[in-house]
Amino acid sequence: MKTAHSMFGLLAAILLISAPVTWLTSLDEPIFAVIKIVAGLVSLAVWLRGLYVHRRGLVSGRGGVHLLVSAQLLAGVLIVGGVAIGFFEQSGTAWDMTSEQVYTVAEETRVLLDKLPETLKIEAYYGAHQGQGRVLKKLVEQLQASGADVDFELIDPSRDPKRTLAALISAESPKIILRLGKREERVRLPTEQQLAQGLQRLLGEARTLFVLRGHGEAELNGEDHAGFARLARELTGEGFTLAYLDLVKEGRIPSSAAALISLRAKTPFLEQELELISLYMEVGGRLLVAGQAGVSSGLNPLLKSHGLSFGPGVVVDPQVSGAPEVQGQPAAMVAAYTDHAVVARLAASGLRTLLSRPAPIVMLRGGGSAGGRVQPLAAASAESWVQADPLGRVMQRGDQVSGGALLAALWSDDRSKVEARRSDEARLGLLSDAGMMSNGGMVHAGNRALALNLINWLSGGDQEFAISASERRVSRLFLTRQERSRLRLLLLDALPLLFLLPGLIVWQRRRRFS
Amino acid sequence: MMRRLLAVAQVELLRQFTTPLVYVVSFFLSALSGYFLIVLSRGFIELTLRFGANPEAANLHFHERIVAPLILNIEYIFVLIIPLLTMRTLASERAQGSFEMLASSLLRPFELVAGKFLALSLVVLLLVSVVAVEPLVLAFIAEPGSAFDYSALACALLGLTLLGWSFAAVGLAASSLTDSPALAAGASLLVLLFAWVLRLAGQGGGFWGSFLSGLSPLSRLENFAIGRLAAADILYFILVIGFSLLVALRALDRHRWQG
Repeated sequence: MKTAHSMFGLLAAILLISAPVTWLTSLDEPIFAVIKIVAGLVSLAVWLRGLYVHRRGLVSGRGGVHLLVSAQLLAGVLIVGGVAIGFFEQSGTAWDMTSEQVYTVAEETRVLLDKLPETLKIEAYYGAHQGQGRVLKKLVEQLQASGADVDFELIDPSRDPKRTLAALISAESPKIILRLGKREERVRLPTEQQLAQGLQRLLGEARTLFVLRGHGEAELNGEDHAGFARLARELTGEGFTLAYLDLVKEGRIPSSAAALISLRAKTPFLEQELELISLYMEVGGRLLVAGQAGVSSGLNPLLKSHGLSFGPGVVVDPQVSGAPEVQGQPAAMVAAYTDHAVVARLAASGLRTLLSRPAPIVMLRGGGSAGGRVQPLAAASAESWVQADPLGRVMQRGDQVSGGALLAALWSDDRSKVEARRSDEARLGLLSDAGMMSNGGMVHAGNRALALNLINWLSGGDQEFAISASERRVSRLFLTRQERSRLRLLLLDALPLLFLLPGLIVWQRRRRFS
Repeated sequence: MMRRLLAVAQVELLRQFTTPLVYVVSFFLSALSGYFLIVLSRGFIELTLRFGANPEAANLHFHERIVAPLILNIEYIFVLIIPLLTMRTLASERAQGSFEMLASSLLRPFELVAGKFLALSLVVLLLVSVVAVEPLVLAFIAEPGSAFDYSALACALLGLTLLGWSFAAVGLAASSLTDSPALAAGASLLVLLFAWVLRLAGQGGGFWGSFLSGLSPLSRLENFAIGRLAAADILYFILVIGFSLLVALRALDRHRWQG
């Protein structure tokens, strides 16, 4: 009889435990959950009755008093604990234990969140077993804890396929949608960087960057190491609209241009093109020129008039030149930054900025005919030198010019008194290696920050710099077949047996003893 | 009081380590976590090969891709193995008749419960250290320049330890309520499965989904696993441990009350 009652107890536990899942996973037909709950309660009643009949001492007399006191004590602990947990849940008190502080909201993100005119709605389409949904949820909690007005909804595509289809979410598309009023932006990865960039796009005005073409320049596509698709994504993320511009065909620089970019122009610009750019700069234009050693920059005549030029040869930094990460080419790492706003934070952050085949930037004595102010931004180490043959694989310090070659510089001049001006200040930026902005180059956080900060400075105000939210540094894992089998041997055989061996000894000793 | 408590802990530890169970459990835990690590690493290697030039596109981070999922898988193994380790702590004292002797001695119920829990906590620490070896192997075999987040790993292991301690406390409470070790293991397994079910309920979404999921210790581990130490989660585990030990204490106290 006692066994039968115990079975009712077990049945009650099973039915009542599984009922919440049935309820939540079959919302369309809650009848099954209701049946389970009713059956569970009936079984529980039968079990409790049996308990009362067979073990009356538990619930009556001294036992009853003890049970009542215990129940009150336990309920008190649960209530006090529950209230305390609820309080800390609401306050969001948490500590970021990651070494790169990836769950600490960056200052730039806070500034953006403060600008929100209404509730920001974040919709994410991740399955229950996808870790990215979990990471995003924690990230949104972090934003909410910092006081941001954010609503979050996680939608499981397998549970709600209609809504997923309506939102045009596919396996390859971005799965995070940010909505602010009627505007929406889509974000691919659940990182603060990407969310903040998406927010920037939602809040910002359209800024168009025109990439020059017609002189063998690199284009903003290609997913391989040397391609520039990532730069395009990053710039779009920063809120820019991208377009190509062929000056010969167009014959003018569109009024919507926030800046022009010349990526590794290989052939000289025509006289009329140089004239157009010169006029553009005179009325407050903005231009970024990225060169490369061994490529004669077609814009050198224009640069010279602004007191800058790409010199001959290649900068060789013995610390990094010839390394596998730069495919054995001459390369240089930025060793010193100036205190200009574009690079001031980079100097303090210690981020790595690596340029492969950089052309030395030369600041002309006495400046250029255009006047203005030339400022250096970044230089290579004192141990580096400029080698005359930019394509040579033999890198040897000879009697070449040595020490701290310039890798990035800029020029600016006041245009606030010019009529029909495009901006109050004409700005020109020079980078000695266009490859630093390629997919392979942008892997280095310093490259990314330098490129985006410079473009933001060129195209806008001094305050607009790349969101410097922390992100985890990437990791790589390659294992040969032999290494994999050794790893299997270690993890599946050696280590487990190491723990089992003392157990076998103990078992043997017990057997001998008994 | 402290001396008597430590003596109970010492006896319990001796009992745990002179039976093969803890070694067999460590063996299975090590083999299973090794298997998980190999499976997760295989996926990571494939991603490294596909997105080597543009690693950000695939979120190639050891902690997010390997360490956190590994820790979150171990919690299910804990659900199954910790009841086995705790089932005999108090139930077998009753079954063997030694409980009456303990109850009539100078030993107070608090010292008995705290001593037993201390011993179980050390066993759980051993199990966590078995798991900790696996990510360290990963840090050793990673390519030069790869980022391995040791402080986030420490946070994840702290979460796993708290989860293990709370499971051990639940097991101790179950063991205090019965004189059958098998029934104690079954009861604590049932409670821990309930925690699992609550977590599954969270997948339903909405207010109730997140509320029920928040009641499960398994969901509470998520923050720790990704390297975020939330005050509410720490408090939650302290509450579960405190509540379970109180149940055990009251159950032992009942015997004295009833005489």
